[in-house]
Amino acid sequence: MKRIVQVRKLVSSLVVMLLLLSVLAGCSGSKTSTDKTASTAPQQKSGYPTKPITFVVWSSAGSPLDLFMRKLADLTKKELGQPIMVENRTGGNGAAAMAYVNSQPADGYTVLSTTGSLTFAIAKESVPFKADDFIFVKSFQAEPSAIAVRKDSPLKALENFIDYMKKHPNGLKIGGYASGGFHQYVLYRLQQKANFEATWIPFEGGADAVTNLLGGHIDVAVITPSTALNQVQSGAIRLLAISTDKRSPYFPDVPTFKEKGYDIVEMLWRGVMVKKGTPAELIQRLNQAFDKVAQNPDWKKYMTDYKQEEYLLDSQGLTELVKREIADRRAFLEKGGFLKKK
Amino acid sequence: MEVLNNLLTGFGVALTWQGLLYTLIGVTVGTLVGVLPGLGPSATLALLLPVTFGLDPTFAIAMLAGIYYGAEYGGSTTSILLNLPGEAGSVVTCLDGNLMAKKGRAGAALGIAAFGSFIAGTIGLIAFTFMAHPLAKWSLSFGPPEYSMLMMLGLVAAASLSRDKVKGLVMAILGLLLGTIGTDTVSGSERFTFGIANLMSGLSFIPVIMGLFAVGDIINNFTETSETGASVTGVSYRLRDLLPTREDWSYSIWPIIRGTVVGFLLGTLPGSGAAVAAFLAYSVERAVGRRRQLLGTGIIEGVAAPESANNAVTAGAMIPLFSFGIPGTPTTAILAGALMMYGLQPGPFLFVNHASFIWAVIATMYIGNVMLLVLNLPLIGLWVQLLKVPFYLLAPVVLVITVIGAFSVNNNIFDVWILLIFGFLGYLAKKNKYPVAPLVLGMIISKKLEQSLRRSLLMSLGDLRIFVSSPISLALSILVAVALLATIFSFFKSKKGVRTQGA
Amino acid sequence: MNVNRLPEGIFVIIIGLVTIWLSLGYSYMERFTPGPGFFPFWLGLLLTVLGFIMLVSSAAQVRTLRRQQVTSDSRPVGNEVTKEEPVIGASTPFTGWSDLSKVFAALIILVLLVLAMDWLGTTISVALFTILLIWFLNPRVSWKIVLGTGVLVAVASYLLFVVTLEVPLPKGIFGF
Repeated sequence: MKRIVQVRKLVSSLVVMLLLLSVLAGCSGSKTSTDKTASTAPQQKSGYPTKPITFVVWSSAGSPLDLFMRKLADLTKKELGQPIMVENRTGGNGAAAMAYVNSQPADGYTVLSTTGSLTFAIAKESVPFKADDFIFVKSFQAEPSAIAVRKDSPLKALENFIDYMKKHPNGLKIGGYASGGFHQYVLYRLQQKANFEATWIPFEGGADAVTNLLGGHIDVAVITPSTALNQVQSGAIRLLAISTDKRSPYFPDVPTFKEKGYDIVEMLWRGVMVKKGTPAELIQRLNQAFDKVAQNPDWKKYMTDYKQEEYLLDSQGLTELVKREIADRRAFLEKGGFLKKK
Repeated sequence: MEVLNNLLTGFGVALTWQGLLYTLIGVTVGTLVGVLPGLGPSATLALLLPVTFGLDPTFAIAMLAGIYYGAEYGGSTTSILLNLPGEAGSVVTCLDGNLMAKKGRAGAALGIAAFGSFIAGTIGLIAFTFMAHPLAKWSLSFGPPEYSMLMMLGLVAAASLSRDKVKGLVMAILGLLLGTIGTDTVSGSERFTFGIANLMSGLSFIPVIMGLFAVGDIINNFTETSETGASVTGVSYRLRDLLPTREDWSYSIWPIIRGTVVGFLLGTLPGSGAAVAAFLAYSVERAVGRRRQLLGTGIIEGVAAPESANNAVTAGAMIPLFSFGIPGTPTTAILAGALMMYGLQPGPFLFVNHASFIWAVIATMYIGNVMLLVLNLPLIGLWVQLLKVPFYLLAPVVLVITVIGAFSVNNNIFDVWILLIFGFLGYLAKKNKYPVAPLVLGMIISKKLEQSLRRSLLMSLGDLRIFVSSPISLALSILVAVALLATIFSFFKSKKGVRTQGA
Repeated sequence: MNVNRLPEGIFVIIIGLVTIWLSLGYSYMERFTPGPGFFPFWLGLLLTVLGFIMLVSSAAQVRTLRRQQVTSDSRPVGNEVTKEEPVIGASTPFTGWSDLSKVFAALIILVLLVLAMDWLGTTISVALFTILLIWFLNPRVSWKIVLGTGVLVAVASYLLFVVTLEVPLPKGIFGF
């Protein structure tokens, strides 16, 4: 008798769980409707794709890379006429996602995010993969690095900074995201070309470095300028130089390193790659769709909203870039003592 | 006064039927996600982000923010009922909350968690509405040396969590050690990864926490319970009898206020998080509470303080986001992303360029807090019934939830193995009476503590005086020293106590 | 309360020493600041010290307790916090072999669940796991309840996590 009562209790609590669930399902209803519009999009004659595609992201939900992949998935599914799922598989500096993609068939239905940080990871051998394990499909966007100081800093231009550092080795507190990563690499290139000594203070993220710069805990930050967009626009933070090739349309007043006589053009790009062995015609099909996405006004708006530089490279161009970057970065890491001693 | 006017206009938008509807959806989903362990608010936000595209930005952001603060409300439920903390912020709630449930007072614990969260959330919002500017300044004044000392304070607090100081310290240090696994962000080198790629980004907190608490507890129950199952009998299920009594309130009101202050102030500091706030709020009660001796035996203050603190954090965390446009937590980072998707750049300009939007969102947060209270109170009666489910039915369900929850953190099966390993370790700890909460706190603050220390020394080129050079770091250093001395003193006193007690 | 902490103390000392040994593999100082080996080294040292404190205090307490038991039969009064009486005994992590076998049986069922997830898919594995565990915990429950709960848990978790929350749970050979 008692047991029946208990079971009734259990059932009733499960029913409530299902009720909560239906509320949730109700609000995700609009999503299924967008999926429907996707499937009514013009179907291509070629076989691929005939089933849903998965985009794997190696960073956590909500990161810039994740937002990039979600936006890309949203627009690509309309081109390919198949739904695209986005899965975040974090862990091991991207190694977990790479291992997962490698365990899936090379049929073009699993597409992995990729960024310029991959070339650091490969150069550093912190992931058990090589560039040849993947086919680089396309790069879409890139962000530069910039040297930033506070409004009240006496450093007015890049020359002041370099002069000061030459006179006072390690004299300024310089920091930015990560140790042995992109921004430190840019500073290292500048050190090489201008010949000065500096100590790097690594932070958890670009935002962390910006708050420390604003709070006066460090003197100079090397950051992706969009991390401090508000401060740059309001004048609370001044950018001394930026690592783009030509002046960035988003920061037209900031000189490039190149203009200042230091040939440093470095971009942290984002794109997609697939497992090696994926047939060339599938990659071509993907590239066709991606080319259309890149011209889509929705995409352009997203790029502007997020202050992303367009950085379109096809499979061949991107593969060459990756090879070159790995070599350059290995040299930097060796010199900085970041490589594992064997 | 201008603030009040703006806020009133905001309420005009928030009280429209769409405003109410989307806020309601947000807080409901938030509560659900908070109750489910593993899947956190940040993953849910990222998931729902594309869904919101068609909506008016005000309502979209109101809904997403509702998920964020709603999740903190839900987090306490499983901690109290099942000793299953769904996220790091509700670990401390387990200590007294689950004991209260075992004493048949789950309703009071859930009730005070809901009321405490409501009070903390609302006070936090008021502080955010009227004092965002000075608080923003305070949050900037925390650099690496200040963080080092703050985390040291957290470490001393870890020792205060358990009665047996030696065991507590051993566990806290083991936690710190576990926290060093992975890539060291200062030098970029790997530590204690033993070539396992999944360890490179460190152990995930949630599988470890769920393993130590819930799985360890269930395994332990395998050896103890008979088939009788239901641990609580003779509990009334009328809502009125479940709510906190007048006596409960008189014990809880100050812990709630103190918890709110601690939580809000820590929330404004990017990256310190709900867990540290809850731990510190608990140790504040240890230090100044009226019944501090009884903490850890299942008293209501042990729920009121940390639950208020972890909700106040969410309000505090909005300050760096709206004052600088710099998100301090993963979840606020997604909120920032959502704002940008609508072409609204998070930051101080938002108040200037889109004042009506931002004040409407703030108004929905006030309403959302009320909704959460109204939504959660009737649920208490239902949750308490869960305790009537016999153990042999409840155990498999909880284990399934923890396994799926652990998987969903990174969508990685590796985390499920971590869950099982720490489940076994949690069982061993329980059998030998080693407290697991200090280990969790140690693990959470490990990275921040070590890196802040080393970052400080990089800044000062090795000069130790950096830890006392600013007023805040000096004050914190003194606080750490005092707390440390008090701990050592009480350690010797308790050791003497054991001896004299034997004589 | 068991005051004999000898095995625990030795265990803590071993962990401490292993940590120190491992931390020596990372650089202790880099230029003028602590390197990656600094923090683990000190943690290992602290653990070792705590382990010794446990040994010493345990030995002292065992001695006083023995002396009391010889001289008088007055039982020590437990304070209001720990009501258990201090006893001397080999501290073992388990209360007995039957417990140990139950714990390992439960762990094995859990391990099987995780292994099965990749092969049979999460939904089926969850159903089987639930049925198996209920039966293991209480063999006298009617099979209707056992099966019903198993199916209900599996379906509910599928609807909640896979359909609604889009968690990419392992799918297995049947595709769900």
